[in-house]
Amino acid sequence: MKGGNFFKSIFLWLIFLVLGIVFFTGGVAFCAKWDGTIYFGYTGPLSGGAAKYGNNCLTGMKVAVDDVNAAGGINIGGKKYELKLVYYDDMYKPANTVANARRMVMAEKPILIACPHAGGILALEKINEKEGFLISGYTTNVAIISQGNKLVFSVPPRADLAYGVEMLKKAFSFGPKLAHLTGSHEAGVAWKELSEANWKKMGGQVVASDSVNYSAVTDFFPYLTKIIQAKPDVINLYGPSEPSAMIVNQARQLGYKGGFLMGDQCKLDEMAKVASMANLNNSVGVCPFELRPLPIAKAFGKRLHQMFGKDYVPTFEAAAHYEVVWIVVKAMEKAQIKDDPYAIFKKFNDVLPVGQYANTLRDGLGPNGELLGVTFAIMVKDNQFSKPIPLIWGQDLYPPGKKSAWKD
Amino acid sequence: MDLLFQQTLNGIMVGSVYALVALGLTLEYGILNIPNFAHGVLYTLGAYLTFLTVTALGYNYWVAIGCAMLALAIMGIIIDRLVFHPLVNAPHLNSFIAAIGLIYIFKAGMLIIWGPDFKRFPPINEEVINFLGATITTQRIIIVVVTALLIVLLNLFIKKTMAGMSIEALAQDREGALLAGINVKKVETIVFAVGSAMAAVAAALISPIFLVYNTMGDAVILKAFVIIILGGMGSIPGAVIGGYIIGLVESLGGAYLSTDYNEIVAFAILIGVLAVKPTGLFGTRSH
Repeated sequence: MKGGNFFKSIFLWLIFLVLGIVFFTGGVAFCAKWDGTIYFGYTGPLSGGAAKYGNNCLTGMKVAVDDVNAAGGINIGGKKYELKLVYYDDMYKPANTVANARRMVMAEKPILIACPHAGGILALEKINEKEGFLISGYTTNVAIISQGNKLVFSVPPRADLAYGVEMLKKAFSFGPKLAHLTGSHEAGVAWKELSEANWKKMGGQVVASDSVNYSAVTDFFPYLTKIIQAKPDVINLYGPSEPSAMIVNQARQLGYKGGFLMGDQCKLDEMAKVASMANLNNSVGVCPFELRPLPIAKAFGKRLHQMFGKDYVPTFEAAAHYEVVWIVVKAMEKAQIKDDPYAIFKKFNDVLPVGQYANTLRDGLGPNGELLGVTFAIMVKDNQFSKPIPLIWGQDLYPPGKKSAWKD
Repeated sequence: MDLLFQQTLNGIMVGSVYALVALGLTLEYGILNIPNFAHGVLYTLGAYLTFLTVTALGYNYWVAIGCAMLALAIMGIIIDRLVFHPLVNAPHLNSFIAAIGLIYIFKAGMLIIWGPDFKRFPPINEEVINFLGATITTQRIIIVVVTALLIVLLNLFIKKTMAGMSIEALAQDREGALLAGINVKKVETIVFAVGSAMAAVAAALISPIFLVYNTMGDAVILKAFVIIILGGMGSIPGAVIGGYIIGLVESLGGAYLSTDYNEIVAFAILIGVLAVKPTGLFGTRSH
């Protein structure tokens, strides 16, 4: 019995010793390097049908946070702050988005919360001004910047100005008859309404209109049979790349020879892994990230390949989220403040574009909270990608004295 | 006319897959009273295993289907022994909760192993055949033929073998079967093995014409539940006919009404049938 107690006490002392060392060294390291921590938050789909999309966004933020810290953290008032990222899965459901945000606000109080879907962003806008965080909204849906919320900005090009007008004109070259087979999610419905309105403005007609949940369909033949019966010149798609590519494959099997208009969620480089270039012929879509004629974008793409392997497809989402982290960090340093989202937001136009970190060349902030900057479309013709087609949009939205940094 | 014919073919193809999934479910839920919501994730697992056997191990597609069926049959037995069998005498709600727990475990597990990406089979049987003005691919013909074959085999198994007859006896009259000395535990094992293998083969057949991904079972399992209620709990012909009805309703309803109303039409038919015959088309008893 006595021996047992002896060993027990030795054991306990050992535990205390180890814990002591851990705390001590940890504390010393902490004191030496950082004066505090600043949190950014992310809530997006990390499981379910849109998981890949959500993870791409998150990857961009993670890489950026590591880079910020490697470059010495955030400097405010002579102090160095470590940047940390907190993130939760919301499965693309707005209710979860809000629950995640509340959880972060209670625990870490992030100054920025990024969310990559319109439904979630709109839900966050109900609480962000009260709770004091900035929303980075990754959606082309204009609704998020039309709510009068003062702490939200949209990251990708505005669908109504860039894709919904300029890209549509390219698709119109295939013929005037459009058929929708767009996703039934919020962004898909918004794209369908937008493209339909602008298509009709150009003098085109809509011959078939279907919404479908791309990841809940077992086979697209029934949908396509019906649509092809209406003899469209262009089929309008909006949804995750791989199912979209399967729609293209199945449409070609059914003998469809016309064109495709790919909404901005369909990534032509990801689609080309599932559908052959021959099947993708006569498509118009957003230019794949790595084909953009921007040196910084190409370098970032190369870096992601080095990090995640050669099969990894670098995306605009990853690049833009990387850039967003840097924009906010630079704005914080410019404002010399770490907890006033209004003051930080005001400095955006002073720091844009963020130099070597401007992967997607966001070069200004418009009056509604839209990040501005050139974007590119691309076509597939004769089994290959065309040259990137710059879509110049929002020129009148730049603040006085600032203009697009893009030069052809 | 072309549209009608093409959509009928499309409906039969999708209906075949639905029928196979519903068959497994009707055996488990209808006969054993075990609400195996996890049937959908087993379907997904079957697709992944087939995909893996074809791409990573490089085996022939048919061998892969066999492997997936075998693996899923074993998995079905394990699930029954570990999860459902111990709950046989517990309140019904417990098996419900256990089944939902299984969904989470399997989905998270598959997400960790295979990730959230969509997987694409290397092109298999993609030859396009034009048949009386309709378009069909070889794989689609294979789906319909294999399903028909499996339905016949299952029927023979139920009618001609001792094990099958004990399943049918249990379906017709549970207490009577027990009195006659039928070993329920053994029947459970067989039912779970057969049911899970059916889910595997359904997934293995459909995945080359579409994609393999984590949530692919969700939509199918929901339809399978509609089908077994429509066809009658525990009824094998009910599951088969119900499967084809839902498949045809989807494709024809989509063609002549709107694809937006697919589900509404399916549920309207379900409500209509239940109003006239509360036990479903072929059901003899209600739950």
